[in-house]
Amino acid sequence: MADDDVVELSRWRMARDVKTGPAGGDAVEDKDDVPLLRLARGEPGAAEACLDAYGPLVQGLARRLMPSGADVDDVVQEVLVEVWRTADRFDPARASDRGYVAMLTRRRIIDRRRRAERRPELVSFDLEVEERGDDEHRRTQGRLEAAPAVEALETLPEEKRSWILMAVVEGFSHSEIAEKTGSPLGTVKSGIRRGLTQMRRWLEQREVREVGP
Amino acid sequence: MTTHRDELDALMVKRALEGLDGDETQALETLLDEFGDVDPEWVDRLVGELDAASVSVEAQGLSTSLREAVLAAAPGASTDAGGLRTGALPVDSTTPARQARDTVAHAALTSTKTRRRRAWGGWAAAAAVAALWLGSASGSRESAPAFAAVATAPDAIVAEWAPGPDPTGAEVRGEVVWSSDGQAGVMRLQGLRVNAPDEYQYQLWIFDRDRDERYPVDGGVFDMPPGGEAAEVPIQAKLAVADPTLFAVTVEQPGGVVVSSRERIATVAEVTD
Repeated sequence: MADDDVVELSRWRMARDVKTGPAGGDAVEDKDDVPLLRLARGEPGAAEACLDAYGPLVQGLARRLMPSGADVDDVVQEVLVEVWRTADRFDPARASDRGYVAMLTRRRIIDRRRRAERRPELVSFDLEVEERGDDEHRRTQGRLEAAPAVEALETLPEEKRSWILMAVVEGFSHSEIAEKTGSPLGTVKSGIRRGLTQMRRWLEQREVREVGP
Repeated sequence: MTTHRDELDALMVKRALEGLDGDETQALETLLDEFGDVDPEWVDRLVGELDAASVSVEAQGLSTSLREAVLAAAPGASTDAGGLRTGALPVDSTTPARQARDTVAHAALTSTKTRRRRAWGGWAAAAAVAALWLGSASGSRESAPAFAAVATAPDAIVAEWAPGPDPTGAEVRGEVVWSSDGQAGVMRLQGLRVNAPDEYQYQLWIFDRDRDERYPVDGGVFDMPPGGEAAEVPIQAKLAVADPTLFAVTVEQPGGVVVSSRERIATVAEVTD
């Protein structure tokens, strides 16, 4: 890497004891017990179970992706309400339940960012907040739980892996990564794209290996 | 050389990580039409899996007000006794003065900055103090079939009930047995005050080492029937319990509660290693 100080890979605990699960997330021995599926089936009390299972995830992700800390509770509420509405769209064959909820969370936060950027009077404020939220703040949760997606990440060359970590976990933009690592922007963009593509292929092959001939 | 397919993937990556502007969104739509067999969400899902793996399961829980607000919007969510409750036990700054007589238990019921640690430490400390009150009393070891059946499980743990601060549990003794493998347990209780179900009921909470300490699992609402000194009560854990550390019985309104004020702790049983 051009700048070892940017991403301290030693801080990341890569998964060794990877459990099974669709494309990532926690292992689920009995999918009938997945709170999201229980919610989709309309089981009594499933909403509370979802709240316990996914509330901290949504909140943790919102705090990480919104360094200013503003509106975190609003995002949590919006996402979980969306979970209530869209539980029947969750397909356990394509994603883990936590991954699905994380996807909804990230989308919601990005939407909010985009809306804020369209309001000129808020742009400067947001930028100021961004500046105050230093890099360390974004690295407060530098730990990866065991998951197939993490195992796939491990298979990448260090440079691609670190760029993906910076982009996904630490929330840096492509431009910021290029600036911090001294790499050309185009190289960063293509590296992240190719890295994710490699991960996807690895996961698909893994699924084939597990299913067997 | 960058192909249209690369452009498509690049736009999906940008959408997942940073979002797209109007022109980019239009370009993405066009390319998705061109590549009709491409999964349009594969990047979103993969990033979601990484996100899920990167947020610690020990992340701080939601505030009570936020939980209630979200649950209010949930289809079918209710606070009725038959529903699945998840035992949020928030700190209550309006703890009755009567609790102050037990300073350790009182500490468990009031907190500010370190409420998570206090919440756990307080319950455990209340158990420890109450155990001193209990002395060596262990009661009869006559085992009813249900209790004995669970107790024979290889992973069964048994914890002894001790009085909590609430007078309903002043004379309590007995044990609780739990098997995580079987997800079954039974409380054997003696001396817990007989209750009138239309006035109040007892509710069990199970603290699990694998869960946020502030959100113990609801173990079910139960009554102490008149005419008998002892009762065996099957535990009805509403969520899986992997590694229980403490069982606590509170006095609640008829039907139980979703969020206990923790004002009335009848009895606790701490699991010792």
